[in-house]
Order: sequence, then C-alpha cells, then structure tokens
Amino acid sequence: MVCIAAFIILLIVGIFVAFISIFKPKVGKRYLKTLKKSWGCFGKRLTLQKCETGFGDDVKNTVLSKLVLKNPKLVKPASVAIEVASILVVVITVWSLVEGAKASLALWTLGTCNVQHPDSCALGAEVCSIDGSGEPSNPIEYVGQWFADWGEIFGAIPDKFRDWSVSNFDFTGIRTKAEGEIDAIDIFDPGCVVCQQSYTAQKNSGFFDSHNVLLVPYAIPTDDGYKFQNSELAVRYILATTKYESDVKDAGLKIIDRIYTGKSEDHKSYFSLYNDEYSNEEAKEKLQEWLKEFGYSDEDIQQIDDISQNGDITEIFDYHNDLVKNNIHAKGIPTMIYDGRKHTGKFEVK
Amino acid sequence: MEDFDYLREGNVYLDSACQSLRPRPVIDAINRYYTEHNSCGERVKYSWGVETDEIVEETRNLLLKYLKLKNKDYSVSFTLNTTYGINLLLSQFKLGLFKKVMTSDIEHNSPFLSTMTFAKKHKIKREIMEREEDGSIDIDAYDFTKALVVVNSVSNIDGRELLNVKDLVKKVHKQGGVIIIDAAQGLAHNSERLEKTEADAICSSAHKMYGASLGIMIVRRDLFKKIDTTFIGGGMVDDVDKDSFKLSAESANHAYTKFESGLQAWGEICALNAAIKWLNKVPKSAKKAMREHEERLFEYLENNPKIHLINKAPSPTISFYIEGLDSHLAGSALSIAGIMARTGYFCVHYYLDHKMHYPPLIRFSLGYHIRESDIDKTIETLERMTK
Repeated sequence: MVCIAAFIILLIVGIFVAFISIFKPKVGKRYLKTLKKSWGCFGKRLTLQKCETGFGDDVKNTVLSKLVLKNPKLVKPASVAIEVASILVVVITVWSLVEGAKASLALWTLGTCNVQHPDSCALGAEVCSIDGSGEPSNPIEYVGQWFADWGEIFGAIPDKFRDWSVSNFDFTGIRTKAEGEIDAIDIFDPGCVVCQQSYTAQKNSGFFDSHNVLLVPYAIPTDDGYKFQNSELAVRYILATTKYESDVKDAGLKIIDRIYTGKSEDHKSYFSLYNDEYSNEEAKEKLQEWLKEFGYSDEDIQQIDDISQNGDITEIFDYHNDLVKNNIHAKGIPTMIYDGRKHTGKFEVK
Repeated sequence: MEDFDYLREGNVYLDSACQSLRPRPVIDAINRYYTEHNSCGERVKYSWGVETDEIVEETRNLLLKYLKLKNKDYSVSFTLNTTYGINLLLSQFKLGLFKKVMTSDIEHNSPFLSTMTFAKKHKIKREIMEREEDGSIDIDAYDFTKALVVVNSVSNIDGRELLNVKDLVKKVHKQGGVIIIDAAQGLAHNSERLEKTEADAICSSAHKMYGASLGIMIVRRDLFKKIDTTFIGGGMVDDVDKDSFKLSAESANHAYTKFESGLQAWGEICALNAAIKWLNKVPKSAKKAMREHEERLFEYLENNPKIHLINKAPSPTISFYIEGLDSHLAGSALSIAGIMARTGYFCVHYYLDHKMHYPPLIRFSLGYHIRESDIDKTIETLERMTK
C-alpha cells in the first residue's frame, strides 16, 4: 500500500516539480527517474506480483531506518502508522477520483456537480436548487443515497441526446404573447432570486417582445412544504387566473411582473416583501389587492381564490412536479427549454 | 590487512559473498593492464599483447594448481560469471546423454533454474536432493545412473560445505553420470574442499575470490565430446570455409576456446592472476583472525534472543533475521551505521521462501579485509537494534 500511496504523492508532487524543473532541469530528471521506479513498483502491486523489495519498501525504510538505530521499540508503531496513512492516502485518492467522475458526469447530464444540493456546485449554473430528500441519518442511508445519485445521473444521460423542441412539452403557464406558437418554456419559482434576475434580463433584453415564452410558475417542493414560503400561493393564484374567464387580460403575467419588478409605496422591492416579510395571509391580501388593481371585482377575486385551492390546480401542481423531476430532470430553477436545448440557470443576454 | 588500506575506519563491508573487496595487488594488476600492456589478447604479436597472453596462460595454470588439478585432465576457460558458465555447459550438452538432472534444495537460482530449463529441453526428470544440516548429501539415498548433477560446494546462505563432495563425485561417475560443481562460494575460503576433486566441471566467479568481475570454468577435457558447440564466434576457430569450420578447441593447447567466444576480459584475467597469487600468500594469522571473527559473530548472533540464526555453525557467510523487524529495513539501518550487508533471499527463493518459509534475511559475509573493530561495531549496532 505504501508503494501505491508513494506513487500518488509523487504524481501530486509532479505538479510542483514541473514548475521547478523550468529553472532546475536536474530536479525534473531526478523526479522522472524516481517516478519511473515508483511506476514499476505500482504496476507490480496492481498485478499482484511479488518482489524482494520494492519502491514502497524503500520509501518506508528511508523513513524508519534511523528509528531502528535510535529507538527500535517505536519502529513497529511507526510502521503501522505509515501503513495506515498509506491506506488513507489510497482510499482518499480513489474516493476523490470516483467522486470527481461522479461530479463531472452529473455536471454534464444534470447541469450540477452536486446531485443532492445543486446550488452548492460552483461549477454549475447559478440556480435555486431542487434539493433531494433530507440528509441521510445513518451510513446505510448514505450508501443508498450515493447509489441513487448514480442512478439519477445515468438516468439523465439520454436527455443529452433527446429532442428538446418546446412542442414536446405540455406545461400550463402564462404566454408572453397571446397569439402564435410558443418559442420557449421558462420554468420559474416566484420566490427564487435567480428566477427574478432571469426574468428581468429577459424583459430588459426584449426577449419577451421577440419571442413567445410560456412562463411556467413552479413552487420548488421540499420534504416539508415548499422552498419559499409564499411561492405556492403565488403559483396557485397565477394558474387560477388562467382558469378564470374574464375581460381582464394578462393578470397572471402582471402578478409575475409585480412580484419580480414592482415596488411598494415606500420604494421597497415587492420581491423582498412578498418572499421575506409577508406572512401567508399578508401575501394573500397583497395578491388580492393587485388583482383588484388589475380590474377584477371582489366577486371575481373570490372565484379566483376558490379555483386556486381546488383539485384542478393541485393536479397541475402534481403534473408539473412530475414533469420537472422525472421528465426534464431539472435540478434547479430557472430552467428554460429553448432553441432545441435545455438551459439551466439565469437567462444570459447574447 | 594492509592490502585493504583504502578501507576507511567506520566502513564495515560484509558482502564478500557477492563481491569480495579487492586487495591492492589485484587493483594494481588491472590498472597495470590498462596502463602498461592494454592489448588484444591471444591474437597479436606486439609486445603488450605477448605480455597479456603470458599472464592469461599463467592464470589458467594457476587456477589448476590452486585446486591441485592436472593440465592434461582439465581446461580453464573464462566467461562472465558462475551463472553464465553453468548455462554455457547445460545449454550445449548433446541430447539423449542423460536420464535425469539432479540438483539440491539449497542451490542458488543459477543451478536451480538452469536445471529446470535443462530438464524441459532434454525432456527428462529433474530431482531435488536434500542437503543435510552440515551441507553433505546422503549419497546412498539417490540413484545417479546417467544423471547430470549440478550442486554447490558451499552454500551462499550459511556457508555450509558439501562435505562429501569427493564421495559424491566418485559415485556419480561410477553410475555413469556427470557432475558440475557450482563453486561460486567455494574458491575464496574453502578451496581445500575441492582440491583434487575430479568433478566434470567447476564453475566459479573471480569476483567472489578477491579478483575482478569474471567467470571461471574448469572443465574436464573428456567432457568436451559431450558438448555440441552452439555458442560460437570469434576466437574459437582455426579455419572457416563457406559452410564449415574447424574449432580451435580440437587442439589440446587451445581447448579453453571451447567456451570463450569473442574477446575476453583480459584486464580482469590479469587481476585474477594477482588474486590467486595473493590468496596463496594469505598468512596463517589472517586466516586465524577471520575464523575468530566468524566465531565471535556467530556466538553473538546465536545468543541474542531476538535473532533467529540460520547457520548451524560459524562460517564466513552467516544469515539471520531479527524477530519483528523487516530485514530490508534492518539492512537500511545497518547501512546508516556504515555496515554494508545483503538482505533478502540471496537468489535462493525456493529453499528460503517456499521450502523453509523464512522471512527475508540479513546476510553477513566476511573476508580477509575484516578488522576486529568491524566486528565490534557490528555487534554494538545489532545490540542497539534489538534492545
């Protein structure tokens, strides 16, 4: 094991030696000679061959030989410590390689290197993550989750080769243009700050003018509810406006716009107020206040409220949830389907 | 000894079984060849070449005299080392001569492996004889009828000698067999055992008998007819036609060319010449001192409870291991203390590892260069390592 650990350490040291050898070529040559010797030993160990003494023993002996003369009683514990340290180095390296491969594959297939907590991945796009189930409470659960992650990663590989035309998806949402074919689908959460930034970028860049975008409100679920406390309410109201026939136009779109870009009388952002400060009752009052402002009567608002709580909307919730998790395998919001591809993260102005 | 005056105090060299330390006269002889008569031996008429040829011829005779063998019966050839010599013989024996090939359990890989390949090539049985604790072979327990026997005269593990080598040779010959002695360890300090031994061939290494790196083959002339020369080239023929040649070895005076293909290591042969002359002059006091060193070291190792000694008796070659301490690690520690010793299985894997299941060993092999202070230091260091 010392032999394998030494080879790993030598490989890591090689990064620094490569730099040093620019100025001192002799160091590089000596390093390559040692690395070659180490590789020979590593190869023998991998193929389970036996040899009288190997590079690993040489390394160990170099460390311990002085101790043999000074304090022979400490040789055995020191030797055991080296073996244990070597095992740790090898295990950590192998584990790192496996985790690295897992993260790379997850980044390619799911757009995040952390399957359970997508927003923890600095390499992935900035998103509001759709987290996995809660933290494992014991080793068995941890192992189970580890394998489940692999399953999810491999399950998403076919997505890289599928047809991402918007016509293949049947979401319920708000169109940015009343007429014409849908060009893009944008799944967003009213409580998600990245969605807010994405929406603002799309709006300011004129994307909504040039494209017909289907805005799909989606409250990111968690084990005990929703990620953002008032998202569910907003989503239900936005969807309810699409189910309630009235002369009032674009009420859903106006609610989205108000939450994302609107400001209160005292110039506070409604996004902050709605998501961070309002209780559920206050949020509901504010939504109803906005609906009245958009032209709905008190009776209309009562009807919309009733619809928002009925089974049809709940069905849409469940359906969207299934689509997001099991069909498009989104690990974070906003997710856009546009231009034959799935885009995860904030909308970028090109 | 003053001939090792270059050996610094504090350096303890205990690996003579592999490469003995060379005394001044040997070093001077090889230097003299390079600086005073560097030449293409056995082919030229110029004075330096003639001088070299004289020394080389003298060396062949010195070796025979050293073992009290007759020139009319034996021819001396030079090669790379003992392993090379044994392989030159075994690989060129005519097919169908032998019913079996025999070796012993304590052999160096040199005879141990070459007898394996010999048995395969000749499609005959291979038999491994057991050596007694004193190194002898129970010759009554084995049948040597038409057998090729390859055994060492002195073990490179613990220096045990093939005490009944003369009886063995007689019995093998009586039963129509051929015997080759691996004398790699046998010529420096135990040559008396092989004196007048009428073995069919004795292979050895000059570098283990205070000479420079060189192989020695002492071969009975009547064995030549059993050899089908296939390793062949320059320096071996008297005449060459389009599809035929006449071997120089057919002439009694040039029999040695049978195994000497190409140019030889003339400088090393000159060094061997000096080594034999030097060995012949080693004073009794030096031999006595070495025996005392062997006994002192043996006694210490035998009485240290943490040391497992392989030797049953004192010898210039002593092997052991320290309980609970890897021998390679011990070897590195000894090296830090200035003590140079071999560790591992010394190319005797079958016996030490697979038969006796010993861990890797430490081997101390002494030579005439050893001083009293070297033994003091070795014992003092081992004492520290085993406290």
